[in-house]
Amino acid sequence: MKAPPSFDFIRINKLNEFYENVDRYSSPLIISGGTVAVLMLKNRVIRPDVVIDISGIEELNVLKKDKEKNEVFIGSNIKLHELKSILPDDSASELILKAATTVGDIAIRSMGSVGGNVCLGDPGNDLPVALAAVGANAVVGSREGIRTVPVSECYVKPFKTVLKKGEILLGVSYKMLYGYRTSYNKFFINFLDHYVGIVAAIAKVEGISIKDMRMAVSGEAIGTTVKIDLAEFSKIDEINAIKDKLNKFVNERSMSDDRFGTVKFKKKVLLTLMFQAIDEVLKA
Amino acid sequence: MSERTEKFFMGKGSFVDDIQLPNMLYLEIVRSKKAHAKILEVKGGLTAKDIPLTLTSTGESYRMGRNYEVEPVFAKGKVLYYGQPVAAVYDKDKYKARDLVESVEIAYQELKPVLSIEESLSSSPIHENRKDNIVARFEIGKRFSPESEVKVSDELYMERVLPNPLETRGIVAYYNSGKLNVWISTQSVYSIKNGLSKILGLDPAEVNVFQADTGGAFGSKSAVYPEYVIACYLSMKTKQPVKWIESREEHISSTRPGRGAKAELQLYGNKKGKIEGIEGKIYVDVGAYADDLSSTSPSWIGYQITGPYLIENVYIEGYSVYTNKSPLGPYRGAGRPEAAFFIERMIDKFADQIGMDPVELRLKNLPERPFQSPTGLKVLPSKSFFEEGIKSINYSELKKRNVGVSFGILLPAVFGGESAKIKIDEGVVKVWLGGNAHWQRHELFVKRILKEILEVPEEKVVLMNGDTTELQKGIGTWGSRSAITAGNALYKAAMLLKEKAEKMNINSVEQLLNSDLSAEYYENMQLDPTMISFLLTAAVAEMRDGIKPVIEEVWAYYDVGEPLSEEAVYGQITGGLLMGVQEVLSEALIYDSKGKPLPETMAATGIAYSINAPKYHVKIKTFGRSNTPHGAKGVGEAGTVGAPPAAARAVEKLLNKRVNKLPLDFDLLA
Amino acid sequence: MRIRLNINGKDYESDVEPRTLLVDFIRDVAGLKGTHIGCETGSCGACMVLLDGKPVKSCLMLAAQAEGKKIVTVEGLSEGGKLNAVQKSLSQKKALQCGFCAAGFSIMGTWILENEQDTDYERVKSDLAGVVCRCSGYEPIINAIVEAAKNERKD
Repeated sequence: MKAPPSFDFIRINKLNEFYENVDRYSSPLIISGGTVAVLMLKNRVIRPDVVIDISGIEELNVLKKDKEKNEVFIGSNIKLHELKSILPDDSASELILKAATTVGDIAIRSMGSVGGNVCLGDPGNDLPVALAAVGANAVVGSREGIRTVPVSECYVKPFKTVLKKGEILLGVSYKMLYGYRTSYNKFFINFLDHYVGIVAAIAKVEGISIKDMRMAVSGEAIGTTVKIDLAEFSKIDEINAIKDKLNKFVNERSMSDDRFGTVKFKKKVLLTLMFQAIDEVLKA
Repeated sequence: MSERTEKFFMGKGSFVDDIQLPNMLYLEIVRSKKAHAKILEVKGGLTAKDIPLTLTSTGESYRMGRNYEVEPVFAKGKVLYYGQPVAAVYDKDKYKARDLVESVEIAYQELKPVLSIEESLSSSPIHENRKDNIVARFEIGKRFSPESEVKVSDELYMERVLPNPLETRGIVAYYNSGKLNVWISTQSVYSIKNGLSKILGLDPAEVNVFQADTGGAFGSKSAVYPEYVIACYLSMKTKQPVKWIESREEHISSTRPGRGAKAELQLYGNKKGKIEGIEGKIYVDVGAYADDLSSTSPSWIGYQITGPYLIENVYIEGYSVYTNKSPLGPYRGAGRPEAAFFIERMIDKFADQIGMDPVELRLKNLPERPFQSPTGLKVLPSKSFFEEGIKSINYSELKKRNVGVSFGILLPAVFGGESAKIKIDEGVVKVWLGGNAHWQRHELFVKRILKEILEVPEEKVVLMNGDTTELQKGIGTWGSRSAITAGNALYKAAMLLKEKAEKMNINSVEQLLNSDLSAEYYENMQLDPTMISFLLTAAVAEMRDGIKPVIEEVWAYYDVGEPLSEEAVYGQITGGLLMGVQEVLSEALIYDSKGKPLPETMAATGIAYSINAPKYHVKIKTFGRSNTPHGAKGVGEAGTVGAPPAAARAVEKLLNKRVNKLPLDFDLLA
Repeated sequence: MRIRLNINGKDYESDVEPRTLLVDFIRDVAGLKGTHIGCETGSCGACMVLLDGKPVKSCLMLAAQAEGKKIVTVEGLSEGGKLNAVQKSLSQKKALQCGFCAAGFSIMGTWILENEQDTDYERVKSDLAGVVCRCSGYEPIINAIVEAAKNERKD
């Protein structure tokens, strides 16, 4: 039987209460939805002395649109299934929504929060890839104040993020983008229940000029979320050069043959997904 | 309406974990974290010192008299597979019992694990008392000297697969007033009763076994396992009820998986497509310990290697071998899918080699008259069945797509026969079958048979869970046997009851329902060629997202004899087909280089979800009745026999690369 | 810690450890055995319940997380011994075999009927992606839910 080890449980309803409480414990676990965190407890791979339920913090349960800054802030406590009805209709949000609607199944999306999906650092998580592609920032709070980190720089290695003890992910923020095409593709294998590759891309094309194009990848093949810089390309007829660059990117990644497949297979999957994404965002 | 289903919706089911008794203790097993190691010391918990017992072969595998290594209840001296029980702990609180697992300390000295059939053949024995890792060797058929124009060679492998019923295994044992009472999720209360009484040295009259509602089994709930013995022992010691419920993690590491079979085959024939002979070797990886079923598995696969075909020359050497993996058990099909996969994949290769349509080649090799294979298998002619089937699935159109077709047979495990009891109790007709349901729709055929013979309305008939106190003798539910064997016993029990009623001048159903008549019947049975069903399966593969092969559609044109209920048969067929397809694409139990299972969750074992289901086209046919009063044939394992070779061929066509290993090696996509 | 949960409209209060899982509270404290434990890792959906109207897997939540919310278990779907539309359809069409999945499919099916605009075969098939059936190959279950939705629309 799987049962969590013993711990204290506290529910926090105010952000300042969180900062006051979190320092009193040596190994706190912060949960909003549960799901993966509860599973890790049941597997006893984490043994926190306290579980802090932040789902009641209303400040983190908001979606804010700042029209002046053209910016969206999604609070950590927002559930994945809620995004559909609250996100604005710009292209960046569209890509984020595409990612959010493919997380797990309906029940997991009802339980899982935006914060959880961003904080875990599992290479199979969806939101980080889309957020990295649109250039979103993680908004991190602590007693000392607030800092922002680009989502693409949040992940150190699988299950390891740049968040420190005493810090809390308040949410993510990004600039709204208009008139972009988006693409979100992933390759799932039932055995070992994993994504070999996940690719998110977004581009603005006018005639034959590429005004802006961004891409991020993740999945077990690559281990963590990585942003790929494609700013040098400005014409859609450079598609072969773009693909060459992606080819080079994939071939230069260090990968190994492991339970998730051979290097040859992983590269094939990544490139297939990337080329598909490029075709989708650049097609007329 | 199905009153059984309604009960589950009302939360009134009685699965084993739902059973709550006063003063109950929760048992947890401490398992080996090594695949092969010497145990230097165990601190804490119940161990082999407390329960120095060894399992016996029971259930589906009950054929005695072989020389092999049987699993001890607790590891003694050495652990031979990851997940082997080493110690046990218990508490009246189930979370505390889980905590206690961590209090047991085990010191190991690691040994190199033997993890494949190849390693098994070349490594020193994992059981020190044996000279090698071979459990048993078999010769099937007769040696022959091939003089054929065409020789087709290949090596084929089917990976281990877990049964993974939605409900894991579990037991509640309560030793009370000199009786050991056991409630269990099982395919056979008799297998459990016989096994427990033998292992614990109890008089069978002291052991009562009651079947709890059983949430699927697929082979995993026929045998006696170490945990059952430990739970009973603990209850006998404490005089308190003891509950053990398997976690999914334990199911993955320690419940017996199926398959794990390899074949090195040569098929001989002429350029016109006539198959002239088949020879080669079949190996089965039985894991760390054996039982009758696993040790004889290569011979059972070899026995049916000729499928529905006329193949005059057959010579197969079979080997069952030990490895440092969990012991092998039956998984839906148990040897039948292996045989079908091996012969059908060879036939496709033969067709490719001589440039002939694989369906045409298959039709050409069906016997015109009853045929006895050199292996001893007797099959009836089936050409008209398969020809009709090929038309029915519109093969001439399907051929334009990436289609795979398999021809197969389904041998029901009728050996041992079966029993049934009917008891009229306060206006309700209660039925017990020796092969207890779990829940393949036995109730549908039960109602139908009783309606036919006793004319009692269906809503008055209740199929009871297995119960050794009501029906003393019985066999079990496995091997596509129930419709034939339990159906036969029930049919004859109903006839007996009818006779009794006539003698007592009971002339109306109303009078019958007011009586307290009962009847019981048991009959042994032997496999008869009329009981073998024929299976035509086709599958179409397509590429999704430019890289991922999927099985889009599946056709099943299956002979089930006289179907006892089409509704019942339909769900059995689609269920089996999906399992078969998934075995090709992703479902498997694979181990890391140290012998630890790679999957950690149920999803990770690669099982199919709704989104993986292909479109099914099922046709249920009657190609002759079986030699039983009700004419039924088997069906439970039809899909797992037919689907793998058809789906493997479809993927092979799609990728234009040979598929000889399951699950699909994803490197083929690179 | 003292936990009070509202399940099927009724309050259940008990002193339990903070680590108590929601599924264990439902089964062992409230004694509602229709919610099952199949996989313990969110793979199978046998433990599915509605939490404020949303389907959740009760094996992946702590009981403490569900305080103040309305929980509906499989037992709460039927009223006065009468099955709801999805359950009736699953039962009439004999879609379930072993029955261990009864909670998962009837909770998900009920949610689909109440929340989805489209209830065609493909939509239902995709919505059921988090509930495992090892017996039926899914088709009989999908058909039963599609049928139940059709009948509801007619009414």
